[in-house]
Amino acid sequence: MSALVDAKQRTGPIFDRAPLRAPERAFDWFNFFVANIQTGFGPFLAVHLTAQGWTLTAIGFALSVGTVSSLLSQLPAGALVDAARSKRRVAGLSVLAFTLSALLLAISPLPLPVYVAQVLHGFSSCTLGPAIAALSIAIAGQASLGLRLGRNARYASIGNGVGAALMGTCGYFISEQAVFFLTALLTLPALALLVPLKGLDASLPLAADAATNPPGAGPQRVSVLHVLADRRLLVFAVCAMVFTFANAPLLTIATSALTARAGDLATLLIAACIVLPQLVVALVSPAVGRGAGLWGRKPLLLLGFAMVSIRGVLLGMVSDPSLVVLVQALDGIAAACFGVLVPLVTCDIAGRSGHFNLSLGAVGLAIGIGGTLSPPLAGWIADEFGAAAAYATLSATGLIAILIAVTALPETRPAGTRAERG
Amino acid sequence: MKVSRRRWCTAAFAVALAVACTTRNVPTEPDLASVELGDGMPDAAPAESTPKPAPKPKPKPKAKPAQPVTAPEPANPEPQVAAPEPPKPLNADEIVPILGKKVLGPAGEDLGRVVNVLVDQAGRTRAAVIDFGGFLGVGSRKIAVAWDQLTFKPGAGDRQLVLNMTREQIQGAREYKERAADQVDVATPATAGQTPAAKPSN
Repeated sequence: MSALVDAKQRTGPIFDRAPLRAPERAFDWFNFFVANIQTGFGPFLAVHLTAQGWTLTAIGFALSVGTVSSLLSQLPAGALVDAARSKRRVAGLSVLAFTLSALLLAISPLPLPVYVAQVLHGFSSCTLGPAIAALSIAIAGQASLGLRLGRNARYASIGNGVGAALMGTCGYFISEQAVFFLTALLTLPALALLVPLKGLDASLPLAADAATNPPGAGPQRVSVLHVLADRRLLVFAVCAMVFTFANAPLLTIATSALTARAGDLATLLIAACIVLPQLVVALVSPAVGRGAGLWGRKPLLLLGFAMVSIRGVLLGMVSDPSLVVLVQALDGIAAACFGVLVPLVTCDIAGRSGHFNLSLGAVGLAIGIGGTLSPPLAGWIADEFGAAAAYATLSATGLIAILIAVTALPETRPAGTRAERG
Repeated sequence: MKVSRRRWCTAAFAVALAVACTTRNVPTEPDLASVELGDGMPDAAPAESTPKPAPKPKPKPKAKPAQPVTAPEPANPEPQVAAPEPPKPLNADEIVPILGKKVLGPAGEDLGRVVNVLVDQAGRTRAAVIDFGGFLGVGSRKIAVAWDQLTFKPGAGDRQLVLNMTREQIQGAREYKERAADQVDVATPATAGQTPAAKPSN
């Protein structure tokens, strides 16, 4: 354990490599399994409840319970993670909550248990995200956080892709219910992978500076309001919200069009629309992490934002199903940029304030609002004025995100190449 | 006599409960709980499948029955004044709960699940709304298909509903919207050619 701490203090390659290998690899796979698990809780829940004879209204309500509870949890969960001494334990408890939630959904798909499961999952998603980011800082240190986040995104996307394939197959050949048993089962390796990370809790304050200090310990601790009112954080949150607003409905509209015209192949093509972007994320996210250190955060953020507008325009033009899948693959670039940069920029801004996780929660809240508001609106536009109008609107919204970022968001990369730890 | 009637009531209720439990396919022991909750929260529960089969006959006999003599007809606890033919309990193997049931195509392909049933003013079933296609819940479309294209096979497990239409015949149909004000498109084999699959509205 102390070797670990030593290694974090020095940046020499000899010290960096040897002791960190095992936890680093364990953390890679932890990200993999968490993403795996999250696949089961997505839109698939609606399929499961439909199979159980739930009405559309009831399903809609259950899904809203999940959405609202995760929106409401973002800030409190972030603050909780800030206050928690052991981020590893927070991560472990969050995964355990997933286990429970998945089992509830599988065993008793009745209103009350489903609502409880939704609330549990909503809240623990909000604690797990920041906990993973905090552990990333602990593993990599603030200076090479970008690289670490790139690895996180790579493994998470592989986990997403594998999870989608696994659960799709499971749902098709066994039953919808079995998917949730599988989800519960997959939480076990995730829990096991937290064991090798044991040493990290001790190295947290060192590596992450005040970011993860216990309350009141760091000299750089700043008041909550001061952190949340930081103009850069606010602008970044707005950018993230507008981007998500533009991005969230594209997949649904595009895949529903595939169902309408692609016949027997539709299901396979939709699966490709989900899995292919994940492959792209896996390929490019390490490069994004490296690039964020070399060229700064802003160019990559703009690249990611641009992808939404480009996708919107292209989806409006192409109608060949296989081309639709290719256009969807561009989403992988956006997802890689976004996935790496959200925690990275937030860490740039609030990493040393003692409120890093709360700030991440604030950005998560903005993202959640964007993702909640836009699908119904875009769906309405698609119904009333056609899919092309919806694509155009979303493209234009993506441009707004770019505009805000260009004009109002400063580069947040810490100056110079000096090691950014106390 | 009163006692015996009450006994019939409880017996009928027990049968009703049994039918309700067996026709729902919640796997293990939570069956009982599901029935209770379903009654309590009609809106949010998977209620449609529960009350239909049997529980109807049970509440009425509590109110003072206006019937003169009942003894000879034990199997029906609820002789109403208006309805000459009282409802009999349904056998589980004669009925098909509709909501959430898988719909198969002519070749046995999985088309989706029933999410709603549309009836007209006379209560006649006109269309079933199917959640069609998609992968892991992404990209599915709700499509109303003509009721008379459906065949029902009680007791056929997961293959109780068969639609006389293929994927290609359904896919291009306009999506069913609950809020649609004026018209609901109902897909039949005849409409399949009309909406060219190349140009759906969304």
